[in-house]
Amino acid sequence: MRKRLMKVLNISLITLVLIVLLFPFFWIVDSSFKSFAEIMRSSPSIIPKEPTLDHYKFIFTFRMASKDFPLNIYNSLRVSLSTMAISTVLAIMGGYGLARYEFKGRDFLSKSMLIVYVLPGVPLLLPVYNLLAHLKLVDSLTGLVLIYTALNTPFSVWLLRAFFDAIPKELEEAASIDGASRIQSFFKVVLPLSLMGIITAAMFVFITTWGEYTFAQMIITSDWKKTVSLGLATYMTDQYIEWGPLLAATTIVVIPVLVLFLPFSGFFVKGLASGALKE
Amino acid sequence: MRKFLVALMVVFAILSLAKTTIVFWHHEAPAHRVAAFQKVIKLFEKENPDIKVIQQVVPWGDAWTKTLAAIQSGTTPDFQFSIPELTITAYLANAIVPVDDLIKEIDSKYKYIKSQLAPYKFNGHYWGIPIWTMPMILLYRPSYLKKYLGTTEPPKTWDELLLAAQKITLLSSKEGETIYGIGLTAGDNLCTQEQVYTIMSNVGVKVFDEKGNLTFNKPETWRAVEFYKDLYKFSPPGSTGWAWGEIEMNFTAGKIAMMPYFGGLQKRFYEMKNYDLDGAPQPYPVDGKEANLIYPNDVHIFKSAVEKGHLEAVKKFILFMMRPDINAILTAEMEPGSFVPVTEAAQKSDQYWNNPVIKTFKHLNEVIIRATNYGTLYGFEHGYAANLAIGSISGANVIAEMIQKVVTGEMGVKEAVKWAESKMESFLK
Amino acid sequence: MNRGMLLILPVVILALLITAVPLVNMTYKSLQKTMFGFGKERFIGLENYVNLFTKDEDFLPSLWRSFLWVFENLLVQLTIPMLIALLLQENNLFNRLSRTLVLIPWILPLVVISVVWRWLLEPNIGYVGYLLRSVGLNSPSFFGNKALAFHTLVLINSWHFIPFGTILMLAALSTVPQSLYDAAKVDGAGAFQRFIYITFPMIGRTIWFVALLAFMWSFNTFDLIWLITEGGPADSTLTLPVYIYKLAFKMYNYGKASAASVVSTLILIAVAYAYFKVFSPKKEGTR
Repeated sequence: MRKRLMKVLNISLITLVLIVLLFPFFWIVDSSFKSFAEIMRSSPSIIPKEPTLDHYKFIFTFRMASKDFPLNIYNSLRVSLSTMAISTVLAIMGGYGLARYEFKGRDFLSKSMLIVYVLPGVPLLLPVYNLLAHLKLVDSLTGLVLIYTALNTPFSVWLLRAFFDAIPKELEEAASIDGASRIQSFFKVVLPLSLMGIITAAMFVFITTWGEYTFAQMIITSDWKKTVSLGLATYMTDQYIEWGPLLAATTIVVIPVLVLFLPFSGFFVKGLASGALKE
Repeated sequence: MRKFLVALMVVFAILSLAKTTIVFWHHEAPAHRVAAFQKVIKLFEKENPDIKVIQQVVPWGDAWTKTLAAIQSGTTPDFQFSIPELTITAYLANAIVPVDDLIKEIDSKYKYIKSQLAPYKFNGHYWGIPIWTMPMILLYRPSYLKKYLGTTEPPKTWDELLLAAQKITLLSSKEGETIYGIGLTAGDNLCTQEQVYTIMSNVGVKVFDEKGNLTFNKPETWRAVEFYKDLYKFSPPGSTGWAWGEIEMNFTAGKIAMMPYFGGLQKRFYEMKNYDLDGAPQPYPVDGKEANLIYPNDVHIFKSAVEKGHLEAVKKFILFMMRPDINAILTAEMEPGSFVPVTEAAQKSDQYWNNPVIKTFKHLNEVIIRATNYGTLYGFEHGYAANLAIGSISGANVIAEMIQKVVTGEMGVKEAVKWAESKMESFLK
Repeated sequence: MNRGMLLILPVVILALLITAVPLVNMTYKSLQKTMFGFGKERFIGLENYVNLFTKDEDFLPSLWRSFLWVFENLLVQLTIPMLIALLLQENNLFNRLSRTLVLIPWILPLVVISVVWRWLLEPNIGYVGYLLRSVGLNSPSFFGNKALAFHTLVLINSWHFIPFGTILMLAALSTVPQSLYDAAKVDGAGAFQRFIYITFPMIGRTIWFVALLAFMWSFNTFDLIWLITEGGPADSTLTLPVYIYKLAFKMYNYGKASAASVVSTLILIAVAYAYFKVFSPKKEGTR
């Protein structure tokens, strides 16, 4: 009886937490189906009085070189997926190198992977822009991928190193006795065992790059190269916020991440548990 | 026949080789503004097939960082839309060219409203070409005036304004409604500075003297700040955190009866089929003068345009934008009431007055057009930039911070004005 | 060259590219009087630093505010995710679904978060104000009130971080062997006692690690504050990163902004160093 009561209490507490945490998002989705006049009402109602799909129609049909939401999504997918792929491969290499090979300064290197979090973002902006200008990568998605990879890979290395550490060396050695080369045994033994960590690292990268704004605004100028956060920013200017399209677009922007997350969120917890937190 | 075809192809080849592509940045991200720009570009390219024009949107919030970064790395566009502070920045960074010849040509063709040129004249030259301007006027809801004041006449003097704001606030709350007589902000932002300066201009506050020395800490400034503080009592609570977005939402939602503001809300009202909106000249004290803030928006040309040999094409496009029929697209169509023509010819043009929104709020727009003649901008009261430090002073929101200190009770009026002047002083070096 | 070094090399190069280059640039500029090439650049030694600490009336207050900001954020970001994680600890369908939903605030783009919270918390037309009014309360001015704006921003920033913190805490909790709990239950320990005597000691290190990450992230929070209050009202939310931005891009004092950035970086390096000194295992290979 008591156990049951606890369970009910637990569930209702969680529900309460979810309501508080998710209300802003709910409000965004909910209002995206309201007309502009209704969004502006000072006594709003939860259920839209006259539900409308106009804002959704607008963001998918107003397509002009300099304002093109479907293109924004496409660009963001390209940037986030490439960053995710490149960064994960580099992190697997780096994490494995740190975990399996002894060399001078290894410990220091491993710790200094957190250094990218030490620098304040604002003073990074101009030097990074100058750097990209030298490389002729200003206003290019490649430049953006480069910066995102540099910013995110160190954390992934940190995460994956612990994973590789946790896999007993003996397993690999056993495989190589069976005649497998180091690389073969890596693919056969290590990779499958650390898959969870790799997915975690990859998802982490995807999420942090998907909505990134500060560096994107600095690096990208051409309208046909804009990513989703830049696209969203064009719905709000100081003196004119296009509330309807903004809310509709936000709803759409969140969906790909949710879709990616749903099947893997359990992995995420487990991945972090056996990865980053081992330190 | 074949010869002809070959000739034609050669001509095409030459034409396409000779085609110049010019790129400009602007900061007007909303869809209808982007569309208006595109319309102008299309018309221009039709008349000038050898020039291709590309617009790129850089939102206002990012304009400074991006401009400075582009200047440092040599990646500037050919020209960009701007406001005085940004043009000063680009000038100080040694990145733009003087445009006296263009100003002269436009002035002789269409006659500039003189007040609009002041913010772009420094060190004896013009550095920006005003394209449209934003005058602040007293925007109000006629129905509220009628209901609570029993009149359709908006206030004309400071005393009347204060009284009206007080009356509306108190009477409406008696009826159980929350309507505030006046909408004033006191946030840490440009919006607040614009409103405060409109009040200041009524008593002739000047930031600098003719030589560029500070003249801010003066009795007329105290008077304006004092009045702002009194009036602020009848403004919605929370406006210490407000910027444009919040004050507009509150006015649109019917929480505010009057406010010194730009006329741009008329488009929203028009779309919502709400016609309860009008404007009046900014009230001023009996011993003051008719005046208000104006924010002319300009175009400045980067040196990179000259280096690339794009200058002629750029000039052509700018002249095209000033043609009254085209200028009407950039004003009446882009943001009716907020973006207002800066030349006499464009202000009188039929294209401007035939715009459905402008037509609907005809009286309001007449008030706005009139206000362009009485406008000034802080730091440019003498018809030119007396001291270029005004760029950083405005950027650092010194005037807004001063008002915050006053309305939150942190400082007395005189103390706050004195504080502001010493803060401004620190930018003069 | 060792093969391990070779494998980590690409990451090191990238990390250096994005940290060392700006760091050198920043340090160099901090010794100059420079305003984005407005006029000539001039070497002035440590003058920028001296000015910051002795003459500048905003620098020290903003530094102090940054510490306060981190402190309050840590307080919220360590306790609330812990509590949520405890609630979600048991593995069942409802909890698994909730774990995914909890992540939503984290994946919302920051540009939207700021504008939506400003809207929701606007006293006269926001939904929160409406709710308060409908129960007969007056909505305070969340961002306009000097005493309130700072804490409101802390809560919004934490709201954004809570999902990630919760996941980390959940992960930490899952490393505690169930057998320990079972043994304690047999001994008759209650839920609270189990938490204090088993869970807490077991995951203590994790909490410190989360604290380190949260420290570095919140110390550098810029966008959220800038987009909502620009450091106002009356400087009450002017933290160090916001001040650095204002110095550089609103007052064009790039030299001074660089000096302030160097100070900020040194502080964070010191914190990270202290963390590793205290918590890092002395010897490798003890795991």
